[in-house]
Amino acid sequence: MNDLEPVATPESIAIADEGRERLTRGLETLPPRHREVLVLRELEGCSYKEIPATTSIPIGTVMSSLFRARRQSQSVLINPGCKELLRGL
Amino acid sequence: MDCDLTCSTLHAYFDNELSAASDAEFKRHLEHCSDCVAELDACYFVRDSLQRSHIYERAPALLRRTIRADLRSFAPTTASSQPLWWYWLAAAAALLFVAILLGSVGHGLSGDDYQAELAGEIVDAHVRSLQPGPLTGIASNDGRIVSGWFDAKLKFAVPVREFANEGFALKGGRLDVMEGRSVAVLVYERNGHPINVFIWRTREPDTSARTGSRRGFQWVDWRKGKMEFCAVSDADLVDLEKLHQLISSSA
Repeated sequence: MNDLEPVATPESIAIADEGRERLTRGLETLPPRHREVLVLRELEGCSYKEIPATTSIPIGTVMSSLFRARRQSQSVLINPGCKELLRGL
Repeated sequence: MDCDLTCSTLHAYFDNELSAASDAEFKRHLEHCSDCVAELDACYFVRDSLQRSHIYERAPALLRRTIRADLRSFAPTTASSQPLWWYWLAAAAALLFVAILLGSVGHGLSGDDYQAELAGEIVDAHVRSLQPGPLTGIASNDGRIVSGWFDAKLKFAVPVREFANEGFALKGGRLDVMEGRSVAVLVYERNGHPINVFIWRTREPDTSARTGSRRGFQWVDWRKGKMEFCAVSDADLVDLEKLHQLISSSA
């Protein structure tokens, strides 16, 4: 932890919790395949070679899933209320 | 409204899957495309939100190693709304096509540079051919329609003939760019096997057919009338040579 990170207050923790809640609920609206591919790419850092190998989803489908998952996530996340909450994470 | 690249190259760029050359080229594109800049911002926002939220426990190290070990070749599912053989053949054919170019004469760069450049091109063409959205192309069994489609897009005339009576059904055409040159691709089908015929301009003299086989795919390559043709398929070589005959004698 560096000196410049904000101190966690009960309030900021509550805000972060709510943002996370919104994000989770938003992700749950994604079709399972899109969510899986998004998670593998963004959170596990899997490459375009590794995702098909892991999921047996062909590379073309992986890429279109990723594209759609990102677009859908954008509309879930990029609304004014959510953005404020997410900033508090 | 959206730039053409926002649903294709941009995502590969965002995921660091482009070659150094294409990466640099896309960076230059960003300097003057606000659509792509906005789309990229949105992608970063999604990624940051996901990563900072800690809603996901990263898979244990052992599982991660298992996932990354031994990349198996991918197996296509049948449940897809896109004609999956497009992707399969586009990917495999792109690889073979460049392998053939590697063997051809008259390139200016040194051996190693050329190999590195082409390796980059292979990956880019592979990635590009598998991007979401419809493949840039036309699905039609009418030679005039396919020919007209190419006329609108290329500086050279593409000979498009139907050979349904001889057992080669014209399925359509599409474009590709390899080594910076426009390449027309005609798609035929023979007994259920798709055949890609790559066509591009050349200054080299006419040649008879050269054939080869690689990774389960066969290819036939020839030059005629300042055009080079390369037919690629998992069909038998006999069939490809027949197609070569048909195309050569009809030109």
